[in-house]
Amino acid sequence: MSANASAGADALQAALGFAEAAFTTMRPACSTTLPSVVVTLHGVIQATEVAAQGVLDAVDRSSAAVERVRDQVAVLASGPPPAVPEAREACEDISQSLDVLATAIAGIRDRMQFQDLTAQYVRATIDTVAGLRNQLSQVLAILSPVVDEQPPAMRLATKLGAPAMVAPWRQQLADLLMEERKTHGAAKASDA
Amino acid sequence: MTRILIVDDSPTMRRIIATNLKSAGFDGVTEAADGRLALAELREAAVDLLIVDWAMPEMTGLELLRAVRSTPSLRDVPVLMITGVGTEEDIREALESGVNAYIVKPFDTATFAEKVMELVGPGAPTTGGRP
Repeated sequence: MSANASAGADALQAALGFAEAAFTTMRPACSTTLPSVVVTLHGVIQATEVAAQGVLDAVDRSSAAVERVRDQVAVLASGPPPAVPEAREACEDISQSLDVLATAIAGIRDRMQFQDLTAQYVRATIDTVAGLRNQLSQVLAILSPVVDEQPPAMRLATKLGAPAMVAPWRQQLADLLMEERKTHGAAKASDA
Repeated sequence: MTRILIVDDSPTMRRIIATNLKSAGFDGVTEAADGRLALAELREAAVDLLIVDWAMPEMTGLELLRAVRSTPSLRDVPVLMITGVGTEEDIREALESGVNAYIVKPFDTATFAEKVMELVGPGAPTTGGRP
């Protein structure tokens, strides 16, 4: 065997060894780890959804209780002057406290939007992981005749641009663009 | 009664939006979990306002908006688009497609009420979808 042929055989052997090692390393990630990550992340979304509904149930009950107390305070305040002079002042204190409570409860409800926002980011991550598994499957298919089941495409990740970032300026931008369009429309109308 | 259809795949968001609308005095609120269900509902009964989430599976908010605008009986219905992940390009795309107002999550009750009142409150432009 010539020196060149021997070197070629060694290189082929090394390449086969690399392919085998790569296959052995990537196969569990593709068949177990990444699908498990996807299932876990879906579970996280479901868990936060259930928790959010529980919080919103409590918020609704609290709001109803605040309204009931507010009605009762109004009844007390509309009655004859109380025997205890401090009672009227107490009613006013209760009313003010109820306002604070109502505002806080509304704030909790608004802030529960975090669940949907977080779920969107997690879904984008799921799609990215699924896309990665898809690519890995293709590599494994080259290394092995065994072809893994194809995961869903990176739909949402592509649409959302994962990892997505919260950018508070966008409301102002939306308002500005809307205003521009209105102004532009009004200018066109007056030209006509 | 003003009829408002909320289209969002998130039960949490549908509930928050519906509660905000009821607090603002709107009682005729219905919900749909995706764009296809919304279109089916819109074929059954007209609405005065559509509140649409941007990122939904199967049919995105933008696709729903385009479907609404291309349906003669629905094209004048005001659409308020809600999104948490919109880019400037997304907003421009929505505007080009005929969205009437745009609100970015997380929003507060006052901002939300202001956008809704612009579209269906007293003094809002009369639309084909209104009774």
